[in-house]
Amino acid sequence: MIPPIAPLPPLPATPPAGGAAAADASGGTFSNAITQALDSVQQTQTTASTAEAQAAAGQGSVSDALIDATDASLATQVTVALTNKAVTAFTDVMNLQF
Amino acid sequence: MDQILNVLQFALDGLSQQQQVVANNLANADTPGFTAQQVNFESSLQQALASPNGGQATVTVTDSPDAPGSNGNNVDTGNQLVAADQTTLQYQTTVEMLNAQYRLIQGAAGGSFS
Amino acid sequence: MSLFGAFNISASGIDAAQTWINTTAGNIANANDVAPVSGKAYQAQTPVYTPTTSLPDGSGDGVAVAGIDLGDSTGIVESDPTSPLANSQGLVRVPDVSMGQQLVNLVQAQNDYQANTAALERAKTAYQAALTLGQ
Repeated sequence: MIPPIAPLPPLPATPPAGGAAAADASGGTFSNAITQALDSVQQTQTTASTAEAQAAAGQGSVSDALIDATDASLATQVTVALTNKAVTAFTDVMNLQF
Repeated sequence: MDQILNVLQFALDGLSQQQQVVANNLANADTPGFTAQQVNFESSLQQALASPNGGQATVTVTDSPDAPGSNGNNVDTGNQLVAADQTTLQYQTTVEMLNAQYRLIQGAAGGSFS
Repeated sequence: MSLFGAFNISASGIDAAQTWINTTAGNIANANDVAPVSGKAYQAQTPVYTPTTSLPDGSGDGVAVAGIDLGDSTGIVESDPTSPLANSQGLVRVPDVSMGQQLVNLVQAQNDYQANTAALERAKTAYQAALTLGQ
């Protein structure tokens, strides 16, 4: 049974290069920093999915779709690594005995 | 777009059917009275993607409008060989996109990205 | 839809083309066989192709050779007094086979064979790609 197809979301603006988690070094709470990092990665993933759907439907460039997919993968990879590090550091700090 | 896996899976189904129809056209390239067929799934997919509420995309198989030759057969072997190549390349590409999505999900969930 | 479908379909096309090559080669080899007027001339063989639709949804499933048509055994009566098979009037029977047509058919059959082989290769490539899913 072919599941129903959801509509394409509108194309977002070009996402910033990977490593957005490191940009929020000062100000904002810790959870804001994590959320922002994950949101910007979400954009790269949406761009990739949209490009792939268009390529599968015969419009849009296949090379763009695969490049966008690689971008999303890299951005996600970096963000996941940084997020894990940040959570570990946070936990360490919280566990300090004074 | 969390529906991307469905979209790519549908595209693979459509391409698989296209491969079969092209193979059948080539097998019957000299069968008297045989009418070649063609598959279209891209336009249905485009429509579903573009409409505000999504929708059901379908694969349609229709008769080729090419004029038949003297024995009633209208298979254009050259065209069909190109179609076989094209279908195969598209299939490989779609598999690659699907695998890229799987790797992304795997990595984001804490597994390996490779 | 199964990719195995494409395999079997192309395999049937290869078989059919092979039959056509074999019968055409036979026709060419025997096109000049002389027979006595009292006997039968060599009958040209032509495979009869029919499409098969044995899949449950009725979609095309390849091609089958329904039978072999035999040409007219009357052939052509011609004069060849030097032939050892000639009758008292110097007549013999020769097959009603056009060498030109048979050569054209042979080329066509070989093209069909190659086209179906190419299709089989493509199906194999696609199937190998499918095997990498999730790996």
